[in-house]
Amino acid sequence: MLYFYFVVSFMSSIMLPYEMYFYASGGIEDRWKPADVAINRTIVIIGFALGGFVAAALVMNGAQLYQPHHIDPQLPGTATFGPLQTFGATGLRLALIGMFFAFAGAGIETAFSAAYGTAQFFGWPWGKYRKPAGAPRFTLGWVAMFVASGIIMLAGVDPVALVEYAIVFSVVILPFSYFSVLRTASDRRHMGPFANGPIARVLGWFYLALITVAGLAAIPLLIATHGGKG
Amino acid sequence: MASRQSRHELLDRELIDREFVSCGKIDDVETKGDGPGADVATILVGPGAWGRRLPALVRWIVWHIAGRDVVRIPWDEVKSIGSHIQLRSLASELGLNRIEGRLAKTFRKFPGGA
Repeated sequence: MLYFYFVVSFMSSIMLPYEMYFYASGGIEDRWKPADVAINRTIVIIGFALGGFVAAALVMNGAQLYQPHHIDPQLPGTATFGPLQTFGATGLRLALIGMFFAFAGAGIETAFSAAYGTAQFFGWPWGKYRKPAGAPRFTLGWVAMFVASGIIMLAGVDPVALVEYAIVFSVVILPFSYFSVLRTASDRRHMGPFANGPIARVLGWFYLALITVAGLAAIPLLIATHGGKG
Repeated sequence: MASRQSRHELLDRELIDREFVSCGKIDDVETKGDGPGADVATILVGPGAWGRRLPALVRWIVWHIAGRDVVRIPWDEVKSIGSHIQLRSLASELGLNRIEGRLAKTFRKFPGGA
């Protein structure tokens, strides 16, 4: 049961719905043209491969380093013990620098994603290319997200538990976000010559089926495993 | 611009003004007559309009927080219909984005705000 809980969590963490909103909004802001399709495909393929590789490395790191000592990491910083043990102080410094940029990037991404989603839902002016006075509610939106997340962290909420809950609840709504993108990407009326071909369609529908099963199983698994604690 | 669009087709379509600035969504419409084929006479924008589409309890909460303002835009203001609906005037001339305007004044006081 615990195994399946982590399978669902990993699948969700690979593709969270907010990433779609963020990426798509960035595409509109940067005025992507058909010429940008090739570079985006490259970014996605390399990015997902690299992300999967890093995720697998972290799992292996956990299994080899922590499990033999019966350590159950409760803080993200515990992950730095891996490079510390292998590469010493240099490894620790590199890991901390990497984590700083990863956390800062994720913070900016989620804050902007929330502001993008809210502004687009209500039809407010939005975009980071606008000055704050040109999109004031959008600006207030991402600032409010930063402040709210700061307050949540200062209130002493367990960050790992919070991330796990966020990921599990995200996979519940992921099929809905993913389905609309999949349909649009396969529609020649919208995408013209860039519409998904037969192989991409089959893989796309297969992944939809996979995340739908994960979405249906997520909440029962969350309850059954007491939030992944067994 | 043809006004014989169904309410269903128009609801929640994003509005942009003459200068392509987002200025809300079509929250409701008024028609010139009854029936599904009636011409659209007015576009309604604001919590007073979209609040009516919510369940009673949610509507009560929304109206207490966001107010019940409704901006009425004559259909003649519609310049084009696409993925957005573009209007002929500026948002400020139609009374749209009023909160945006008030907040913008505050932001202009900060360095780099404008």
